[in-house]
Amino acid sequence: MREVISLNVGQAGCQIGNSCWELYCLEHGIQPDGYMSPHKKSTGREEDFSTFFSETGSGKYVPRAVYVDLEPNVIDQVRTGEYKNLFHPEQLINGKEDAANNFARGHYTVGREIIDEVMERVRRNAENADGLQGFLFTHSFGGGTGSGFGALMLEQLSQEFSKKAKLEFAVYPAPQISTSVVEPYNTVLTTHTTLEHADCTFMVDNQAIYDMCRRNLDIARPHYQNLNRLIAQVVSSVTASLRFDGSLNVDLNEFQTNLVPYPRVHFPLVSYAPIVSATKAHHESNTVAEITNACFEPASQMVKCDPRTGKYMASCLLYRGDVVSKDVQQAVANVKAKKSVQMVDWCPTGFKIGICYEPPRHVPGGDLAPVNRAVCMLSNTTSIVDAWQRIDEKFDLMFNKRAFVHWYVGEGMEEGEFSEAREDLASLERDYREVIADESFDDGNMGEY
Amino acid sequence: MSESHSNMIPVFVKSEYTYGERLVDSSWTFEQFSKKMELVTGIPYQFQNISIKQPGNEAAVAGTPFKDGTLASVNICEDCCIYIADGRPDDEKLNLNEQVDRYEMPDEEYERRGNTLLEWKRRNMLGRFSNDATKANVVSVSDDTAPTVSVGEECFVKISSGEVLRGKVAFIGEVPVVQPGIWVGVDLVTADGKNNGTVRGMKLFETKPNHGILVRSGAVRAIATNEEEL
Repeated sequence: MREVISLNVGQAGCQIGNSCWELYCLEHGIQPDGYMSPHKKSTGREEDFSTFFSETGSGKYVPRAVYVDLEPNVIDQVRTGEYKNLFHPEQLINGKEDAANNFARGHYTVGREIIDEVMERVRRNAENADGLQGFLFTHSFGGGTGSGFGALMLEQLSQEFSKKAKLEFAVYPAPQISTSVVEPYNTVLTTHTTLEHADCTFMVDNQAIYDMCRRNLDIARPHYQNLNRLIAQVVSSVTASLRFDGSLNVDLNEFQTNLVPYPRVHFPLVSYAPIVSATKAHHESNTVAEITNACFEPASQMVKCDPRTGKYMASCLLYRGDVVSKDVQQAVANVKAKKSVQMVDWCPTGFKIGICYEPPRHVPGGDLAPVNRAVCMLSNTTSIVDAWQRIDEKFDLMFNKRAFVHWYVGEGMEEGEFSEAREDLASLERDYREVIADESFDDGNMGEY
Repeated sequence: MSESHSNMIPVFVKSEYTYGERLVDSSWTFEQFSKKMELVTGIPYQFQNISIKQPGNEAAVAGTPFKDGTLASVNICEDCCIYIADGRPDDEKLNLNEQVDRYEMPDEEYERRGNTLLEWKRRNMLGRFSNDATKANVVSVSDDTAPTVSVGEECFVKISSGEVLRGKVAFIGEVPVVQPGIWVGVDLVTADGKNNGTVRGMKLFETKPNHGILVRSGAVRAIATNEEEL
């Protein structure tokens, strides 16, 4: 068995975790109480959800997950919510005092008080696994707990489980409007702290998800639950091959092997299609060719950036549901022929294709229409540097005035840590630019900005 | 056992620079709420001017005198929108609308750091560091790319769509934020460009929006030359 432990950290991380477990349960026919639904029909396909759920002696399935938040509210909602019996109480850990949107509180002062307890629970989950593959984090870069405590956990995991894969789904601050004014600080500080510890980080930009909810799903004022259910579909697509029979990325380590040529540039762009509401679903035929093409539309991207201005180091197209290999081959051949899709010559990985025959599952009351197939594209493109440039610029705007730095210093941080983190991010920007730095420009491929 | 938190209500909180859904406790006083929101909005709690919109009722209720009551006293409910304005004089407010020059790591600094993609490429002989990198695919910033135009000169520029546009050379030089080598910035007659003279945060020249374009020198010819030659 190749178990994966999910670590849901901070408000955003826990709430995304809720939507993911809701969806995983539906996909595997597990009821909110953890028991298999008596109505579950055998699909005749292989399922290996033991990677994500452990089975108790009484036939109950328990998520391999740990929830952590520094304050009680969000986790209390799990304890009292529909899925309260799914989890063992020891999997749900909260402190009393929140991180107040402050990386320093999550990483140092407040976080230190519960890190031992949290690591003990993680260890216990790990001991319960025969052949642990690694960890799947969900957290936000902008919040205090998600950024600070998330980074603290990753550092400790890196020491204790250095050989195990560590993947993250991270909420990246929206370009236009922040959920808090210090998001750029938290994001830069957490990215710097975890750059060496995470193997692969899939970023989800709140603004991109907001726009999808408004534009594709006709939700005027999206709530977090709308956003999180959409994110959960994406997480589910990425992890489907770990839970069902798949052909690509069937192992957490494969994500890094297939997508990350050099450890620092480990932030693949995620695109997903179709994103369509029930009312519009009848008008879409949703062929393999259509959904494949849609992945190259900016509207399908989880982070706002323009891949046409960059080059691809690697890409995985993960199809699920009713797809025929021949159609996929054709669709991918068409994509490769696109002029806007340029690969870096010294990255030999190219486009990889994964097919999982389990279709996406509709969440009752959810916004997405039921569909019989979907595709998720993971692309390591140099254009994601736009996201770093945006946040670095916001960081500089505030740090030049030393705005709010005293909140961090008051929690024991030094100003030097800000400068060091910012330097590291500047170096990351350079890393991305170095990827394409040796392109010839007198062969007609001249470049234009 | 933890205490019950049944009073937590999801609302939207908005300020000049922030927006988000938040869980608030209806038993909080406005002062407690404001102190928490100081860390979110960056506005000191004493200077927060609060107003509230109930869902479906677009008229906002002004909130400054609320300081003493609880959120429940103004019927905070799900989907309420709470606006927080900065009551400080303009010169004391945080201004995040100004332009800054984003810090760029200079070449020497990047070269000096270990643990970079550059160093890794060099070590693994990739790209321009590979043994079989012929002159053809090696970036050369040598004479053969030297532009034949000069700043201020009227020019034609051939853009990637194949179109040939008119403009004036506004910039010649290296632009480390894109790719190495010499670049030519053109101020186009029409708004068919891609920038306003600032590329990836680096100000090179200044034009009206979308009148600027940055190209390789091979794509630019002085206007005296025939358009067909491009």
